[in-house]
Amino acid sequence: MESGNERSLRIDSNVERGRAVRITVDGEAIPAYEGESVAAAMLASGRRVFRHAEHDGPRGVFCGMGICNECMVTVADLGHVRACIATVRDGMRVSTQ
Amino acid sequence: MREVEIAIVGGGPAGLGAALEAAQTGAQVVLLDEYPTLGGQFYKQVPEAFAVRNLKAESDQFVEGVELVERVKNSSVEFLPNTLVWSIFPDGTLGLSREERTEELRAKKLILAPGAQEVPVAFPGWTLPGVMMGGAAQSLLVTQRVLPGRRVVLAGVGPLQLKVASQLLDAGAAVVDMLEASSKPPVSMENALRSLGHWGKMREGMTYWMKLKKARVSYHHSHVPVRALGTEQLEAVVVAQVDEEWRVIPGSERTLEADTLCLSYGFLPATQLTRLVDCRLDFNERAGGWVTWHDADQRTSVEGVYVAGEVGGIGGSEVALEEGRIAGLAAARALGKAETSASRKQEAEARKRLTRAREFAELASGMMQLKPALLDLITDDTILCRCESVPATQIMQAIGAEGDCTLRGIKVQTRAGMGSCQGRMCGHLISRLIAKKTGMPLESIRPDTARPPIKPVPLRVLVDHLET
Repeated sequence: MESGNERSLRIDSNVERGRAVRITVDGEAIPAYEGESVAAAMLASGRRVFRHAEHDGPRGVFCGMGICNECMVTVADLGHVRACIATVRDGMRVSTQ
Repeated sequence: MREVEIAIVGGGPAGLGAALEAAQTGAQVVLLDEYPTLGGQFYKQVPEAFAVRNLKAESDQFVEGVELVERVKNSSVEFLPNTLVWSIFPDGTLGLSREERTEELRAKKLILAPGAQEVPVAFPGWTLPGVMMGGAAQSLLVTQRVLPGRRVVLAGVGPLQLKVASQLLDAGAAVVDMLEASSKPPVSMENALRSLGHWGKMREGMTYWMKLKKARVSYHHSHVPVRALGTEQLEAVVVAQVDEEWRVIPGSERTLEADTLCLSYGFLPATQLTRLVDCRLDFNERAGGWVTWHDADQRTSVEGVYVAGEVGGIGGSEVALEEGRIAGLAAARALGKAETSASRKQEAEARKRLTRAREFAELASGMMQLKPALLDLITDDTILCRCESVPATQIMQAIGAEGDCTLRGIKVQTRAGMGSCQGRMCGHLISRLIAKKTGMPLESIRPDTARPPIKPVPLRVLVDHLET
């Protein structure tokens, strides 16, 4: 658990998260908890660039409610996924685009 | 194919209110939401796998959500989570995407409660990671319990950002600055709220205000962010003072270091589904632009289709909840239920509360109207269509060329609005630019045709659909 880490972006004051699950982003393991969105787990690990737009620059979480699609990532076996509304699953392999 | 008596799309305040009342009459109710949990973008509940330790330490809004969701769970309402209504076919059948599969559902009465989206406001750098809607920050804070950033600038219009700032402070983020575009700080609502006796709203606003003052948060009215700076993500925000009409005052620019910029410029009704079934839409700028027309019983112009909440005009959660209750009862009554005196009494009470709630909505909307000069922040190379990366200069050139003053015309010429968000981000910006360049009134610029799937679905879902 990283709750002892002062620099954690996770807010632990009044909540018990789900059990820890293993996910990877671009091949790197990052902490994630059952119930979390893929976007929350990525942001909590300091990852803010979710994709690079064709003919333009980096993009990340914008609307946070599944309508702008700027946080689109690729999940092995699922394909394109909106990270802000997709829930993490144990063993999930995520790639930024 | 399965047929139910009442299907409700959207599990926010409107959908919850509709589901509860309809179920109480004995009607068979199915409630559909794209999210795994009920509550929607207002109640922002935590995921099922999370547990809040002490409910008393949560906001009134969160607790109210918990209570409503519990009531629905303990009722006869059937909730289908993770279920996107990706289409409504001409015969009224709903196309559902669930767990990578398609399903179809028919309902004798359909209540659409899809809610709203936040108003996208474009300026150079607004596509940088770290620039996000205020609602995105709130979902991260309240649902996911993750800080959206460590150094946050808030910007927008109206009282909402007071709440976002307060939530950020509680969670331990540094609120670098708060920028209110209007010349009137939201605290100026106080007198109006007091004279109308909206004590709860007044207390809520003052609680935020006092908390921000105590934390010595810097607050500037008549200010907007004009540029977001950074290479791979947001590093700084250039802000400027504006006049009464929101025109930037030259020489007033200054730069704030920040990793996050939250934008809260109000809301637009989510009319994709009501457009898909061809409900009549009216233009009402104060209520968010194109709104779905409905009568006092929440019936739309399409037989058997009802709406509740923001889709019929931005009015806030209390309006949504009461409209939902009325829609639920009206739909049940159309099925021969809800004829008891208890139901009639419920309805009369809901209507009374609705009148009160609309009074507040009217006040709030008066504070949240955007001024056209906000568009002047857009430069030639500002991306307007985020999906297809179309810069403003291409769109400005397309407006009026070959007589094109429609969103569809601009889309065909530039690809703006053709991407996966289907114009949700750029549509209202382009409409305003058309109005600005041609002098056409906004109400003469219709939203583009909504087409299924209204949100991205796995290809498998479409293939499934074609094969069944």
